[in-house]
Amino acid sequence: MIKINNIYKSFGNFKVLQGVNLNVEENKILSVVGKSGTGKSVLLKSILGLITYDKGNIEIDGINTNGFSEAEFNKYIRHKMTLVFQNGALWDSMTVGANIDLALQIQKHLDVTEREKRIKESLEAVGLINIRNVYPNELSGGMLKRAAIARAIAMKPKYLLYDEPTTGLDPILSNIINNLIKKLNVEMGITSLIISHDIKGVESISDDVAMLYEGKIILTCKAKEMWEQNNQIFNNFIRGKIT
Amino acid sequence: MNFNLYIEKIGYYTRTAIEGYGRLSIMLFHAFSSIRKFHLYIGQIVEQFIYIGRRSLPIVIITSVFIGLALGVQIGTQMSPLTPAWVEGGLILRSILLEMGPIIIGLILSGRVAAGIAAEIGTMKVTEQIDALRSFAIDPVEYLVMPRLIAAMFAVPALLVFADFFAILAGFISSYFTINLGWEGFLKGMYHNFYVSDVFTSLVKAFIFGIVIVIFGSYFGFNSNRGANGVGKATTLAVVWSSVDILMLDYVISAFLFFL
Ligand SMILES: Nc1ncnc2c1ncn2[C@@H]1O[C@H](COP(=O)(O)OP(=O)(O)OP(=O)(O)O)[C@@H](O)[C@H]1O
Ligand SMILES: [Mg+2]
Repeated sequence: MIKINNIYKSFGNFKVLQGVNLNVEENKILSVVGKSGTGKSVLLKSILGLITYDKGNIEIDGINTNGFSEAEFNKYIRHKMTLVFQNGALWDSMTVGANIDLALQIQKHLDVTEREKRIKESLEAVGLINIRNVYPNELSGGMLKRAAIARAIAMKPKYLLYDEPTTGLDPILSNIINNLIKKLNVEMGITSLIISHDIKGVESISDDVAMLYEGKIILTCKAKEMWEQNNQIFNNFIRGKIT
Repeated sequence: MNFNLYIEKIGYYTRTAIEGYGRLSIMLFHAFSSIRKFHLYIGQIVEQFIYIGRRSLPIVIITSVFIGLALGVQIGTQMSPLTPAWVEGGLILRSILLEMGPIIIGLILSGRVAAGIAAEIGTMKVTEQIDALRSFAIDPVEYLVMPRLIAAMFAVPALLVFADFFAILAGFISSYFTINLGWEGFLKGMYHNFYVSDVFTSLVKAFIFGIVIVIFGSYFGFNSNRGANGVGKATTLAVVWSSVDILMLDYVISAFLFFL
């Protein structure tokens, strides 16, 4: 379980997170929605320790990561949690296959047969089996995104954080990715935290939904009940109403 | 400018420089201490050796030839008529081994390699590829800096051997045409002025310059700001500061080995 307790983060004088509270329950899918620039990506990066937050704490499986060093994040957190970056962040000096292989080799120290198997499986899962030997800069935006997802799921982590996994994908691909996230959650029990603007997708796969607004989580609810909320900001947001 | 402001500025730059060197030393230490994991990165080390070493060879040879040619002319025309011509062989040999070879290598490689490393790491930084490494528990210094460091420690001294050879050869050719010094005389001069310690000095300098180039390139790459001009600035800083430090260290090493 990921427990985010009262997190603050500013860049200089610019306040981004101002007391975020959020729990991600074991084996569940939680989606966070919110306007562009409200700090959703910053929140995900804080959980993994890529950004150090100013105040508050984050507990992952009971371990408080406040003040953790890089080495402690590597040891206690990053081997069981992977992030799919918003822009993919594939390593562009190597092929997609090598991208997937790198962490399997250096972090997990797996042997060649197991690595091969995982590379094939994960590329298949995102429908990209034939781009294994292609370099990231030769891919389309949607392919990049899926390759990044393949790289993350190959790690078979306990937690997966997805930063806008379906943004920029056509409706069919979005469905494929959403189904994949659900399938990984159901079959492998991967707890997922998703940042998404794809409201229909959010509704269909999430257990819970939360909204980040002006540096705070202003609402958390069951995905099934997301159309019956009393929060006006949330209601307008998910309906795309201009206020 | 107001005097106080001036002092303030000096203070600010001094502090920035000290802080910078401090963080750079920490990175250097970190890179060295991760060498024990080199077996995980053999592929990267070989790749970097090719990039730093083999790809730099043409430019190193070209510059060495011209430096050798120029030295031949300068030394030849400045020797007094009373000095026997063969002495020039030794003078060329020593000036190339002790100073010219290492300096050419150092400056050429800071333009080519330090800039390249800063641009590459800087781009990775701004496109979140460094964060991606960290997110997979891959240490960016271990993965990006250490293999380049090992590669440079071998490649730069190797390049120096080529640079010295071609510069001396060119020095001979140009002395032949300026003061008509034949190869027997040139070799005699070299023989009379050959010290094993000079070769050692030369290689030590190359080895250390290799480290400087990799560390400065990496340091400025890791510290580049977001946006494309952040990377451009990082590249410039890497070239400028690695060149300055190479010239500084060149003096320090020369003085140190002289007093030793
Ligand atoms: N490293 C950084 N340095 C300075 N400011 C930053 C940094 N990272 C993010 N910010 C700022 O923090 C704010 C939140 O950024 P973030 O990327 O988290 O937004 P977001 O909610 O993910 O938006 P989007 O939906 O567009 O991806 C932005 O205003 C951004 O400019
Ligand atoms: Mg974002």
